[in-house]
Amino acid sequence: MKGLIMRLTTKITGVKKLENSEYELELQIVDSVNDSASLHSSLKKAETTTRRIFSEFAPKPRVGEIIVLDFAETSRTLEKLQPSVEFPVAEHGEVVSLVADFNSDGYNELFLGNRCVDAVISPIRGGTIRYLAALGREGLVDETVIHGINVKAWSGFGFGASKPGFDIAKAKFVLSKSDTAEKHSNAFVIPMTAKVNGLKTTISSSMKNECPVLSSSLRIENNGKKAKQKKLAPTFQLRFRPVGGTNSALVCVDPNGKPHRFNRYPHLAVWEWEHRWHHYTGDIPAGESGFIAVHREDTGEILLISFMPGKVNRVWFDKESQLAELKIFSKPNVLGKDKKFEFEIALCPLDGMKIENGYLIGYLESEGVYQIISAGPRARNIVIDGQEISPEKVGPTLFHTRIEHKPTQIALTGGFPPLTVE
Amino acid sequence: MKKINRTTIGIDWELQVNSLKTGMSVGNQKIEAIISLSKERLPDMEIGEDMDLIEIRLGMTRSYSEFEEKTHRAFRVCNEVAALKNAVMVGIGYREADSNPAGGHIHAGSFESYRNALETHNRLIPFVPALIALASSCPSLDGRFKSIRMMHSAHNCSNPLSAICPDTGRHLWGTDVCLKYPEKPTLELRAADSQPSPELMCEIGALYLGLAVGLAERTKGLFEPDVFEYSSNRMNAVQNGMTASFIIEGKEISASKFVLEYAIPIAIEGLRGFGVPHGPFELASIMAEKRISASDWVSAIVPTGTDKFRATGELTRVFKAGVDPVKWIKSAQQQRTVEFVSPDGHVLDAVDVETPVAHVFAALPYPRAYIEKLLEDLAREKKVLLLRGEHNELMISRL
Repeated sequence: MKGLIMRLTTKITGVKKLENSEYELELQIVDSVNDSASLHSSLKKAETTTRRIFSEFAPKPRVGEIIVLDFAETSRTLEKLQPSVEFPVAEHGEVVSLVADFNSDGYNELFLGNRCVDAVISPIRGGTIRYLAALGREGLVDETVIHGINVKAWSGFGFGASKPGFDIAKAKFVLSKSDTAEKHSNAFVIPMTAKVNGLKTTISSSMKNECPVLSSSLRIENNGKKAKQKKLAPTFQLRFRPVGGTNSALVCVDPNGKPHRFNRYPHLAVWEWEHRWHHYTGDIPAGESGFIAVHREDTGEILLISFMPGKVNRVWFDKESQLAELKIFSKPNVLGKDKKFEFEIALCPLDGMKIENGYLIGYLESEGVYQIISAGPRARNIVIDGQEISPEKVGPTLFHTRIEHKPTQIALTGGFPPLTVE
Repeated sequence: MKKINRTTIGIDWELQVNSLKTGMSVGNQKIEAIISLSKERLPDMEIGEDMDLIEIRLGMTRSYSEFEEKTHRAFRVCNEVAALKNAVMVGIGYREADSNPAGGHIHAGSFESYRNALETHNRLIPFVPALIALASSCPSLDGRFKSIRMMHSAHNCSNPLSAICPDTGRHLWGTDVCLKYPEKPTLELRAADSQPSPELMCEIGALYLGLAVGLAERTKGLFEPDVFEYSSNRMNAVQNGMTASFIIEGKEISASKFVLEYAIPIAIEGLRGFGVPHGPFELASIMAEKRISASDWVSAIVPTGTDKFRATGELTRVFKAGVDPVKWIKSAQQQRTVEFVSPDGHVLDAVDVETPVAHVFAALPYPRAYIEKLLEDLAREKKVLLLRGEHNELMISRL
């Protein structure tokens, strides 16, 4: 179930005792939890069954009682009720987009994919990225969330006393009808819009052919006759799911190449407005380089995150929560009438990388083609086995080129030490 | 002259309010509505909200019967009101679905002088780990801790204690035992987890009160407890609950024996004249003998490894059905005592790869200098490697 995190809440409609403390339960879906979207109407009152062992010290299950399905039960139920749509396949030289229900939750998601990466974005859940992986890999992204917080909430951050005036993560975004059918092109920029606290908010997802970068840009416009000055400071939150591994395998590497390994235990706990405790292990010095990389040591998978350096206040990494998290905080902004706020993030899976002095060089292999990515505050030419190539800008601080064969060494001009391709 | 002029007790009992529709938190709006209605029906108490929880604030009670009656009445009435809002109160120390800790805070008093309260505070320190063990009610779903709430020091709302010096010490909010004088004439135990029933809340409350009064009256002068023993005993209590072993005055003793032979006798003596019925601490004695707490009851219902949302939902169902944890405690099997886990074992457990020393300080209740010494010893034994980061900060890698 790619991109599914919710659990179903169900009412027991029938009970059959099996052996020992096992029961077969007939269930009716009543609600969902751990999801910013409400349960889809097609799932309400839908019927399902499950087998469960109840503790001998707990009361026997009875008709009318509520039980919460765990992740496996939820996935099984959803898949049975409405089988998920398979990802479409892009041909060489194209990007494919399709709006369909890819995780059986009743809501349509936007799929964008090329011959390098697959991505799923959920408009109903604040335009969050639910899935991103290079072809043939598991991917590290569990979900991304863009929180729009006002300055009042920021000042109450420590104790959660104040609540945000609005939250982009809870907004229901709408795609243009023309974007819903399966389409093939060499590049897509697909916007989705919502009105959040009276502000026209647009999240545009974009992908190019033969390039492993998914870009997500946020634009907030303060237009209209009754527009008033507003304060805001959106954050971009990225949760990781190291499938088959643990959070301790994740290392956040800053633009100077320093790995940030954190203990299991927190040293700073923060009560957030969502009424959840977060244990942030501290700031990552992202400096002015505008990127950060997360490396999964046991599988070698890497996710490169690029952002607009001038607009970011701080980057926090959290390995203590259920899912490891990275938060990128934009600087607080005062948005006057007829003004707009823009923020862009780009994500790119990699197979190998080298980071030094605020720059990165990395690569992703897909079907024998090597996608070469560089990151840093300014464009530098990429040197592939001695040959200098001028890359194309594909994200706020990301640059890209590709070659059809396996290189031996890749580097950047300006004295960057070469990365040997394994 | 008596240190406690009049024996009084009050509790601030935090309870989760879970929805019968979702099994999870019912949410702030409904909690506020439940509080508002409960206040009307319980005008002699202060019912309030604390971080997505309902908090039953009993006020000062002056006899055991008053304490017991008010605790039971408050729980019953709040639950009746919650039922009107399609919700149920769940009394365990941690709601896994949203990582929300809930405490059963107990105010023992009444002190009329700062010095008396302070002396009693210091005397109570060696007994705090036993109270944590007995009150543990929230096992971690990975099976590592009997009180996941206290593993996180209740998210910095019940931090490890230090003995207070009468001349130079300042009392701080948010420690295992808080010295409230003169704002309140009490010593507040914050380290106890919320309890799943009024019977258990009353039992833990009375035991703490009895200890405070008993220690206040039977001891004289300023006491300097062994902070190393307290810290390691606290960690053992958090990990192993009533199966834990402690070190008291250099000798290993089980939490069970400590409660039965030291804590309960002092508490019985302390509660003379408070109207405690015949056979006090029957329940605490059973728990100590069997080496169990409410945490073991929760584990019996929600086994290790359960999905946290499923676990929260199942506990909501169990509390809705009104299952009595005391009945389970009385019929449960005795558990075995677990060997004492030494401080260096805790330090090793807190170290990963290049762990900043600040993280080890934050994770463990030990004094910093003591952790540094343990780290040096472990480095000599080649169990850890001490490193310096780019800002010369100390980091530790486990070997």
